Amino acid sequence: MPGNQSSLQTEPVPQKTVFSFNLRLIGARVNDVKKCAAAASGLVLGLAISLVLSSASWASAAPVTLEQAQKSTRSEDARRLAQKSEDYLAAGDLRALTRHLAYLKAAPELQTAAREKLLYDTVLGMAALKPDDGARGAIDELTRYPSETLVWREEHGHREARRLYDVAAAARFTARRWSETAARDETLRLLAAGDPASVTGYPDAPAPDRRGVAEAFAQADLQSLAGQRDTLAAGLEAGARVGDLALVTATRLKDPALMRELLRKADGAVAVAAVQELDADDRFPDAVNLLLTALERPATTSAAMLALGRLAPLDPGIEQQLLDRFGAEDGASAAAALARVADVRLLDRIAGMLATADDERRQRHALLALRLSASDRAAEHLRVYASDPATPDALRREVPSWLRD
Amino acid sequence: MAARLSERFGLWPRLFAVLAVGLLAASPVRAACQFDASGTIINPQDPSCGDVRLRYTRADNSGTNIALGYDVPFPVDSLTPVDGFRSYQSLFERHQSLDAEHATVSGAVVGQTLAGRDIWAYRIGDEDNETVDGGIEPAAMINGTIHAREWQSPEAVTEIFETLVDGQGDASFGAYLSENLNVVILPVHNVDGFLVTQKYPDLVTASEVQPREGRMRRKNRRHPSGGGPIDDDIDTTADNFWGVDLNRNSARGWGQNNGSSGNPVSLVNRGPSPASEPEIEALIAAADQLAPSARLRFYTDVHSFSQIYFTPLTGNARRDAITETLVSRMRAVLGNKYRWGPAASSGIGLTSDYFARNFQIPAWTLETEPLQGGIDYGGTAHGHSGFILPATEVARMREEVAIMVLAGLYRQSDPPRLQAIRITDRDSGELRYAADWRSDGDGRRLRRTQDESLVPGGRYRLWLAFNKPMRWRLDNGEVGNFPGQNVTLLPRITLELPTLGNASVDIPVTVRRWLDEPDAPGSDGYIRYRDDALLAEFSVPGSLTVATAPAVLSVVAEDVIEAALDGDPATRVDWSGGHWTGYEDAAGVASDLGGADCQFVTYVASDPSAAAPAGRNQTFCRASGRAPDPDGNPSGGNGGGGGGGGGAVLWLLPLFMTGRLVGRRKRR
Repeated sequence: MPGNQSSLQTEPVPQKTVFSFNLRLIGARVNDVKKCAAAASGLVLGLAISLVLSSASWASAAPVTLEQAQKSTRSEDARRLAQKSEDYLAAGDLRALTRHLAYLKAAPELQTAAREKLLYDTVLGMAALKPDDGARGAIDELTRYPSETLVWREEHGHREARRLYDVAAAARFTARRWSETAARDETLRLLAAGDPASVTGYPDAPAPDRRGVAEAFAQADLQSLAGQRDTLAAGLEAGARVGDLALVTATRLKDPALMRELLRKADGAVAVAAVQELDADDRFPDAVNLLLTALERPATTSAAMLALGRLAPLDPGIEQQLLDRFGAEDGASAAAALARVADVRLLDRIAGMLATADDERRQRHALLALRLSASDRAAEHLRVYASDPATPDALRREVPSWLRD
Repeated sequence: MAARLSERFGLWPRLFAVLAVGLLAASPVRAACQFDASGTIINPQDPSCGDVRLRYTRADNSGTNIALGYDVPFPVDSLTPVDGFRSYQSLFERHQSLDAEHATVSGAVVGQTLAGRDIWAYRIGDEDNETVDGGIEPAAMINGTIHAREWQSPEAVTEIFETLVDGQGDASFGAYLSENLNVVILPVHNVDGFLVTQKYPDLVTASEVQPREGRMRRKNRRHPSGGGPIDDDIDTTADNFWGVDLNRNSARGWGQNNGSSGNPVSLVNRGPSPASEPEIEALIAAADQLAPSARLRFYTDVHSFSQIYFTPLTGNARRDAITETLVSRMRAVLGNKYRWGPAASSGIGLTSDYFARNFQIPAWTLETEPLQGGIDYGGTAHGHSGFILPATEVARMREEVAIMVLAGLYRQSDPPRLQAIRITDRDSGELRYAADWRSDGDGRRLRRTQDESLVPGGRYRLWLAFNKPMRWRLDNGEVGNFPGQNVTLLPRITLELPTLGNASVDIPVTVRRWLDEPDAPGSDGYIRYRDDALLAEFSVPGSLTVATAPAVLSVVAEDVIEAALDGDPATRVDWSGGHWTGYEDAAGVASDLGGADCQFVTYVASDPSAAAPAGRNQTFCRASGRAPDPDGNPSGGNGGGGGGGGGAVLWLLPLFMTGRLVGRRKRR
């Protein structure tokens, strides 16, 4: 939309900061070697964007509205060529597609936006095909394609021009996808042969290959997977970064022992994903004990408590385990987990605990559970507590503000 | 199909049917939405537009799938941070737990959404409304998730919340902020919209170039007629385009400058009237009730994406300059990864327009990363992928935003000031001079508790204490610069003797170290926050021949985020009319830049039992610009032992005439 003529400052490229410092306030560290690599690629991308945003620096296309850009994509020629793309993609005809790409790049009947959309859609479609040398070459060339169609984006409150169809990005995606699928296919072959190489080589494989390997593990037959189980367990034990594969395998094989290993040893993000799998699959063997294992690891404690909370109505032992966590560092998650259980008996039990607890933190967790419960029963317990002369002053001052009268 | 249509409808309809079928067959499903010149979809009820459902995937771009090039993040149930996005319920429980667990957090329901859901805001800071030295606490406000699809926002704002709470007991930055600033946080503003996006984390409708509803809902859920909420069911497509853009609904700039639309379908629909939406009422209530508004000095509305501080300029020159400097310091924390976008118009209804113009405070829309979109992380170039940050980038993003904002809170809380000094004989351990600033009514008074002379040939230890932690510690425990800042780590300190004949004598002071252990008898340390004090040394030349002469301590120092000292602590620094008040330079001239502190005046005498020279309090340092007269007498009429204040008024006239009253714009 025509609009707010904010004078957007366009500045020299911001390089992603690579620094190491102690976020002492949160006890965390921000120091990632990967950021060095990201900074380099960010610099390249940032350079591109600074050129895009400094629209005055473009000798050719000025930014247009979305409708202006879209209009050309609806021309008869554009539709005809789009149909050809679809036909060639459906047929998996790489030669035709390679020729078609060459034609699209130079087709005189196409306006720029239409050309770029056609290239973009066709290139992305080719990601699903197995490439030949011609296709690889064509895609590689397109990773340097200078898309020119810029459209105004103003929904952020300031006006900026952005590429509508970034053909080079699409080409990079397709090239990467081909690497992934090649790795996938190779891994499926290795799995079928019982070869552990896909597991042992996984930690050091480049990112696209790792994705492909993980895909293969998601698709392979269960017998092939079972053949890798011990290698995965050994890898986890040795600290190798094979958690992704172990999670897929443990989930598909419903293997509690392997799941336990990865909950203990895999990266935090993988371990959290494992908790989510257990939460979603109420038939996973030994799920409760596995979630209890996850309780002991800080990265997964909260997620595990919430998952256990859903099982608490079925297992009084779980309820007690969570109540026992009140007063601990992670007691808030236990309180939230129990609050999600809509159970008057449990609320009364928590209120009883509140009356006898002599540790303020334990009291606060009990109060939190009542507060999060958002039920009339819980509100009544809070009211009673707030008016009890035995209630510590600090809590007696705070609790009334929680009540929604 | 065309044949069947033509059989039924005759020749012309037949031709039309053929054409229609041809068009439908050729046109990709995704391209059927059409746009007007403003980018608003003009055929939302067309089944080939509004009824189209699209799904985000990692790698599948076929049919109605949109490949992002990375895993589509789904909400995770965990109160504590994860490598990804937490569910709304988990975030809400996290906020509530921080409130319940800490007396220094006070949550309140400040309003309800259209669908009747509570909107919570939280005040973070100690329970009183006073700064440590008895002033009225200033306030800051941070708003999150005004646009539902911008998932970076609630995570970043929650990180700020968590960091402020976790740091309160650190005897450093966290404690300083807790004790001297009220921070009001509204982490999830557009609850109704946010829940829709989380209900459909990988589904959207309409158009690939302008996906709506589901994961890409932006607005609240106002029905354009009737006023009640639309449903949250993606399959009832008739209402998927409706809602009010809460960040165009603020009264300031509402409907102005072509920055919004009155069309209920538009992404930037401003709503039926200024501040019509209950969510905006809640934001205003949060500021008024919890801050309160009159004490605000800082407002940020956290969004995604495009990596920029979009900053309204109000035309108040001092406010605008202060804001620019503040933003530049914050941006520098991340190496200027975030851009700056000043806007000189009268506003378009943003919440930052409201706070910037109503209260004349630094205020902006902070658009978090990415810069371009998912392409920044190796993804495809889908235009809306910037709203779908890869889960693997979330932890870093929120930590970066948090530290950037914390730098701004620290700077805007209060400028640094020198509040106490001690001079001790290094050989005998005898305390020779001690003075500090004490609250006195609306201001402060300088109190000397020890006042013995320094002697030629004497060796002295100097302890200086400030009002806030003045330095940052690196991982190895060494004092270093806060990320992106460039502060001279050891302040420049001189003991000036300006009245010795025709030449003044400067005694250099060697700063030894900042103190990160607490002050104790027999052991110099910090007084309240680690690194709020430092230790230095100097020696009075033995060759100095003087009966008695005043000695002015000149201290040039910056705090962690490069703010200079308040040169006259007698007047409390505050904020009014878009600028600092009571923030003076060494000459006592009010500015927004501060300067050196020359308030502490001891004396040198050959006889250690000699009394202080008459007129000592009228001695000024070189930085004040007040040179002594040729006879070596101190110049000027600065009043009394309380330092600063009264006599400075006489100096204002010539300084005013030279245009120095408001201070020079600080070098960026």
